[in-house]
Amino acid sequence: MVTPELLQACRRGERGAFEELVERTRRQVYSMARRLMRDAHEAEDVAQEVYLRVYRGLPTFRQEASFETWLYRIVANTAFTQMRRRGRFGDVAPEPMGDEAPSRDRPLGEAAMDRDDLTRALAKLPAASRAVVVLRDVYGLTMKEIASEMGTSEGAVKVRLHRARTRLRELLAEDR
Amino acid sequence: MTGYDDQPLIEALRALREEPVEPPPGFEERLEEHLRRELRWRVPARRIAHDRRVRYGASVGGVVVAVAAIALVLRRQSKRAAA
Repeated sequence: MVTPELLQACRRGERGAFEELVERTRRQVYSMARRLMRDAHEAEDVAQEVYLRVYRGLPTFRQEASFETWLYRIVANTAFTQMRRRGRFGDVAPEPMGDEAPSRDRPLGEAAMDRDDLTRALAKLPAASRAVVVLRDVYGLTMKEIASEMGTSEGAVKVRLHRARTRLRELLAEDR
Repeated sequence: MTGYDDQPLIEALRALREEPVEPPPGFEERLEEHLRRELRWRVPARRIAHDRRVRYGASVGGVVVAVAAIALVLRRQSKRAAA
């Protein structure tokens, strides 16, 4: 939990304040980065870059916005920059078209929602689809925020999210 | 835009937020070292920039320098006029 007082202290450059902020959020940042990136090494690179951006951005961060959302957006933006740099983001594996309606004979109840199965299924999604699901469903970013970070339209994000969830359900059903 | 059976999936995904992913060994140390290296000069600079005494000193110093410069110009002008 990052308090407004801690943010103020970071802005003033108080000794130990930024270290405290890093300590309080690093697990959260790493976890999000790991869910977006392909491996642990890439996630670590993202986490390192995130904190440099946070440090640079703190003086202009408006307190009325949620710090958590601001942080999530920085993680997303940094991850997308890395993916683009590695040529992975633009060239997303084709997603299955058609048969997008969830199949009624394979309802997925709580029993199917094992955390490990879900993590494995998420990892199988193409980078951009995974990113949309992670940002929207795991971290609660709005469609507008996701579209802004991805440099696309809200409509495109909605379509991708719908397809990604469908694919995710298929992957979970296959695992069963 | 959620399908009729999306809800369990969305709830399961939302629950992942509370489940941290274990970072590789040494992650904290590497992160700390990276930030120490990259922010070596920025942290003290920001501290100085926000220090009231430093700002006050800079203001007073600025005024002193400005007054000295004006005095110098006036002195030169009066010397030229006398010559």
